[in-house]
Amino acid sequence: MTSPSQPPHNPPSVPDTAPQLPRRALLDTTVQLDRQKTEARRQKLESILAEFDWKFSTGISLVEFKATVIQECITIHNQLRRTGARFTRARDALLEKKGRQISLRAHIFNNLLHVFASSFDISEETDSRLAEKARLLLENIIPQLYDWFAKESVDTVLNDRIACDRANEPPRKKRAAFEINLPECKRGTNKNCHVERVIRQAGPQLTILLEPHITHSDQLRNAVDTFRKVLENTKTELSHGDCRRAGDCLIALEAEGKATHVLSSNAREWKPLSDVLGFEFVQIAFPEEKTV
Amino acid sequence: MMQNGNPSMNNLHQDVAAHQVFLQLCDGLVEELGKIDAFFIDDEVSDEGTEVVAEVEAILEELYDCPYGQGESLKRVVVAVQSQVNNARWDRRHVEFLRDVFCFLRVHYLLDETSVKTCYDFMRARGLDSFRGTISEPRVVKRYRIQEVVEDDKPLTTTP
Repeated sequence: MTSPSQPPHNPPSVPDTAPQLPRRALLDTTVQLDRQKTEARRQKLESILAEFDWKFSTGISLVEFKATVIQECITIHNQLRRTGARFTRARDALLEKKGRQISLRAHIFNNLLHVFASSFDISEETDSRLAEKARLLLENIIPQLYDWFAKESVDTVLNDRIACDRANEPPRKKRAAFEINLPECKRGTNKNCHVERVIRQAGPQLTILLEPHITHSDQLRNAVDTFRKVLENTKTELSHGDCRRAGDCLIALEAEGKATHVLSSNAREWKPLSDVLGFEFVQIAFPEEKTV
Repeated sequence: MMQNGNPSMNNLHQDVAAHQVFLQLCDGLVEELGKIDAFFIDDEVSDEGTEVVAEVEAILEELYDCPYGQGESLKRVVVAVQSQVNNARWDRRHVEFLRDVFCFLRVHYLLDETSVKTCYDFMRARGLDSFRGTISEPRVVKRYRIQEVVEDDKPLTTTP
């Protein structure tokens, strides 16, 4: 409050804060999966995403989604498609194997059970019926998973820089089974991407900047190793498996200069990548979920 | 109708018969849904409405076995519907979704891949989760698990 002897306060002629630039979020593959995994995670993520003006993902992320979520659905579908398939046997066969995606596989089987099971004892007939229903439901949603990621989940799937071919291929069903979800990439046959060129342009500096962090992160070490393979040999041609080994780095390079923030549950890789490439890292966690 | 030895005529008779069964089941389902409005508390179907829910679930099982439609299209529509309504606490979205699907199907003679796609369009239009029961964990009334039953069901250890 001013006293009567003081001159009236004049507001400044320029605004105190600069105009706010659009906030553009890059969603890591783990965040994309979490948006579908449970209702609680979806709601939490949607409330976080509402604070951003734009949402991006990348072609490499879509390939990771195809290699994990979509591939597991296809694997389960193919097992259930076999002559005389029974749900319990298919479930046992696929859950007894070891693999990185075994918990995702179990998650899908459990969800199918909650929807189609009953309180009665499972006979051979009901087991076969359960297998058939599970197979048909997966047949319905496998193409829709790709469409959701590629067309609905984000404003844009960035793919101009690397131009990943595998990202542009939706899953396709033949007469009975889905065709190979991710064929090997062969230049001149099914590969026209620029991944090696991107690595040769950005790789030298990025590998130096990431060097201090590779002792703490196997994934960053794998990415740097993949980059060195390309940098040391001009004839190196990568396939999608190699690109997935360097996935986080390639995703970051694709979004460099386009995204302002990165959302991921994976701080060990994304915090150093964000520091190096100029993103603001947003850690996604679900501490309210109790783990047994 | 008299059936003769002509396979294409027999197929036609079977298609007509299957279509009649299909229509009866759709009509039955729509009729049951008409009764459910009395059982809403706020936007959820009350426990008293379980009678209608059970009838609809039973009709869906019969529809699953109905031979009508191109290939497995009807089965795929039914599992799509079941992925939303089975083991779920029904609310207005579920009821309106069921009405959308079965009012649409009963006036469209052709039941094929497009019908499956339309079912999912209705699902999304009602704000339902199209991946429920696959990658998306469903909110359920009961939780199920598979428990192996040992052939000799005597206890493995005896209690003192």
